[in-house]
Amino acid sequence: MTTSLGEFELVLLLAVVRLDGEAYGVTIRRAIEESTGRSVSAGAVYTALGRLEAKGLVTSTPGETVPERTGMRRRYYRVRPEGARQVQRAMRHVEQMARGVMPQVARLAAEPPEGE
Amino acid sequence: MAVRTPHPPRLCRYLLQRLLPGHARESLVGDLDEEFLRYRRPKGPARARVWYWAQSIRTLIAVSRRAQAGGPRSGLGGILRDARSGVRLLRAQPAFSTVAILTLAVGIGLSTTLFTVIHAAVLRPFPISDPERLVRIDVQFPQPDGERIRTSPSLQDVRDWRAATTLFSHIAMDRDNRSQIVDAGEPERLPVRWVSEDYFELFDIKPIVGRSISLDDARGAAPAVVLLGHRYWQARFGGDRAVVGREVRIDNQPFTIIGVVPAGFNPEVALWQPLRYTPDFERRRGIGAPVIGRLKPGVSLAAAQAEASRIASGTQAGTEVVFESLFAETIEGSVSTARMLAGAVGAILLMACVNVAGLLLARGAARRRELAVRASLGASRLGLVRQLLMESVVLALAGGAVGVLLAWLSMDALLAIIPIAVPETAMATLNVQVLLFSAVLAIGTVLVFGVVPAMRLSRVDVAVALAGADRHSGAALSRRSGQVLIAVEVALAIIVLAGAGLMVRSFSRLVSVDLGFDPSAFVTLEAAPVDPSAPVAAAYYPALLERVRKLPGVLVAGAANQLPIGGSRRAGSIPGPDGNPVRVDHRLILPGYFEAAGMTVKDGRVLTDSDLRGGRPVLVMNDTAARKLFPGARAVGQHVRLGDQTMEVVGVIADVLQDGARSPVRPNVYALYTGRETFGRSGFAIFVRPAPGASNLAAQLREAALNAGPKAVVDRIQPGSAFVAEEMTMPRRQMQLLGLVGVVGLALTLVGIFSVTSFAVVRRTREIGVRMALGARPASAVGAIMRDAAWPVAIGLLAGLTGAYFLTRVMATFLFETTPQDPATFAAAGLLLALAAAIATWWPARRAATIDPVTALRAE
Repeated sequence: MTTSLGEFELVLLLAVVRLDGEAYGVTIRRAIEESTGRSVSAGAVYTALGRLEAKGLVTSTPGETVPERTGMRRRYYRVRPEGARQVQRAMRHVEQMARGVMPQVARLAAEPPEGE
Repeated sequence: MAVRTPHPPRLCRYLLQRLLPGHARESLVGDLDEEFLRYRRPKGPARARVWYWAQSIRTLIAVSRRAQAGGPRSGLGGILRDARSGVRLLRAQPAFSTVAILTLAVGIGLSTTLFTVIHAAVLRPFPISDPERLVRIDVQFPQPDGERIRTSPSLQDVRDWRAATTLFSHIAMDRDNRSQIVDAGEPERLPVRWVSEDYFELFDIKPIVGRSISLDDARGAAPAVVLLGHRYWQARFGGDRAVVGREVRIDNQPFTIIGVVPAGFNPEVALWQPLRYTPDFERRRGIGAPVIGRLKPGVSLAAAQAEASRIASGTQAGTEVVFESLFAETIEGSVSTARMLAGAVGAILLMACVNVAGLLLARGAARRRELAVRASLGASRLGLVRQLLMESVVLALAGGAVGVLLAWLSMDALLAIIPIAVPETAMATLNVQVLLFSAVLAIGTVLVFGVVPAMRLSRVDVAVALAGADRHSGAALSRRSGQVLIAVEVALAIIVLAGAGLMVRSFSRLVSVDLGFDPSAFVTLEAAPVDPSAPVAAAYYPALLERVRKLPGVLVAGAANQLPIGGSRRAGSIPGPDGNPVRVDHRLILPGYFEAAGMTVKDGRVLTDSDLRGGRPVLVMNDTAARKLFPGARAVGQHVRLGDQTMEVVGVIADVLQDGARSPVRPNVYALYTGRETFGRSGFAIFVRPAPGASNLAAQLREAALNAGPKAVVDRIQPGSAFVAEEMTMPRRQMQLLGLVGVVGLALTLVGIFSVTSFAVVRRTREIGVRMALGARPASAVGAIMRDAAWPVAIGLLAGLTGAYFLTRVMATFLFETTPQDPATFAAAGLLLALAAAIATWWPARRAATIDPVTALRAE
């Protein structure tokens, strides 16, 4: 029984899928930043990917280097089938829980804070 | 920063390279570099750098967090992990931790406080940043008779030096405090200082209210102005900031207040007056005021001296200028005391470190198992060492923090007993430098004493340790270390105790010395007429004495122009038996003085009212004078020539230690005050012996002084014992501080011996169990433990006493009638320590007797 994905891990996996073969540290980080507006540190991305890799959900391969990296190679990530399945499952859970309830959520969000 | 830099911040990148674990380095640093260069820098280099820094820090944090969850042990993650395990360990062993932390805290706390004081008194007595550039300037030039005299420069000299702007950034003059009568409502005698207009600038002092003295104030016709000293401003004007423009009278002349000097700068000075430049002052050297200069930065002392000499020789050929460092003058007295204190506190610190080292070693021995397990799980030796070191660092930081807290809390109390006069210009509060000193001290001591144990413990042979078979080698190691520790501590402790004992002995001798008068018997009244001229004084004092004598609470009263201890001197000389003049202190008295002060008559009689009325020239001298002037003969009945008068000696009194117990006695002669003599600014003091049961005497005396005729001011009314107490202040403080250090040293040593012995009992549990199983009595077990400690104690005592023999020499200047190698003191210290050590070994050793052989043999 595999454990469920954390929210950040889910976002990460989706980003890797979206980048489709172009997913390495810089691009993944920027993708998350641009899509979600969150600023994440390179270290957080790196360690989370490391966990995912340990769980067998992604795989990484060393890539090429470019002049700006002064000899240090990129590391490209790809989602493995098991990872994709986990994403599906997680999204399904969310969709199921969210079905029909969003208008209610919107109403709750619009309420003034308690006590005022 | 508009600098266009093509690279990511170097320092940041370096840190990343060093602190990130190996596998992450390539990806992370490469990613950050790439994003920096490609995407961020084009949008603005400054923002890009900020981004890089922020990313780096967040990345390091993220990576280290992951490492704690069981990740790689290297880099920042490893360090943080070890630190947390260090904290956990401290909490798991509260007894050990408390003792260790408190021990460190005491050592560091004492050193911090002392360093604060030394820093204030010796390193930074002036508020300016370059105190070594302050010099007192003297000129030396030939006199008509060929002799060279050395004296203060003239105003012309000062002007010439100022004109040559290359030498000094400031030159100023100041006159010593003069005691003048100040009236701001109520007249009182206060110190007033006359300074030139740039005096305050020289010290970087700005008035906190109003303005400073300017050149205009110094001109002959300028309105009379004055600056208030901070203390006086608070006391007399309640710190009212609207004080500028108000008037105060000095010696009956009106002055306008123009400002207030900040707190802490020469606090005893009540008023600051501008130095007036009179024509006389202009040209003549030696009648002006001492000159201080602040050399310009970059000018060497020697070059400046030469140049100043050249300039000064313009007014008079052959003039030489001499610089004396003001800094050196000010700190002179404090340096030797500071040295002694540093030694004492250094010993305490050393003892504290030795204690902690011992504790660490002993604890380490008990952790062999745990370390062996870690080693077998793959931890490298380096990793183990680093772990042990980090634990030590955590301990050090905890001890340092508590120590600084201790210092801060006890600062006021300790300052009261630290025998260094801290110039109030230096505010003695814990400052950043002290904090740094403590931090360095804490980490330094623990690292030094944590490295050795760490290196030793990491030398773990896994298999042997796990099997428990290394017990013997480990035991031998611990035993030896423990004994060395005890010996070192005892040696240090005896040195400190010997020093403390010497101080106590010296002080008790000081207190019990015969001063030649009885300080508990009299009260002095210091008062002076507002108009200090001779005729007024001549009328005032006899009248005052009359009034005082008539007071109901007064048994006997007299007067003298000098206080029993201290005060200014009136110098005279009398031709001696060989024709050479003998310098004497010439004291003026009114009858009743000898009786009131409780002085002892050795021969003849004292001066009386009939002598005064009769106008006969008579005097009394002290023993020293009698022996010097009439060696081998009786002084009474002889005649001496004092000044222009021939006087008859009518009595000899026992020597009075007028400069305190530690200065040699000078020849004194006592003559009657006839009203013709003038004396210095300290006026006359009335000596009163109260009748038994007299009450409210002070108020009566004050009333008498204020109503004896001319308008007068009362300076002080205080008992004779107060003078003695003043002189005792420094020696008392020295004794108290050294005594405190001695007690702390003793306590630390006892704690050390106690800990080492306790660990020894635990360590030898098995061996003792075996012994007892074989029939030995419990008492012999106790004896065995104690014997183990007895040798190091003995060696320590021997070594320490020998060391003390040589080291206490530095205390010689502070001791009164006590040799630095006083055998009684050394013996007492040795006995005390031996006894205490015996108790400190016996107490934990008792537990050895309660060891149950069966459980001991069964246990691991």
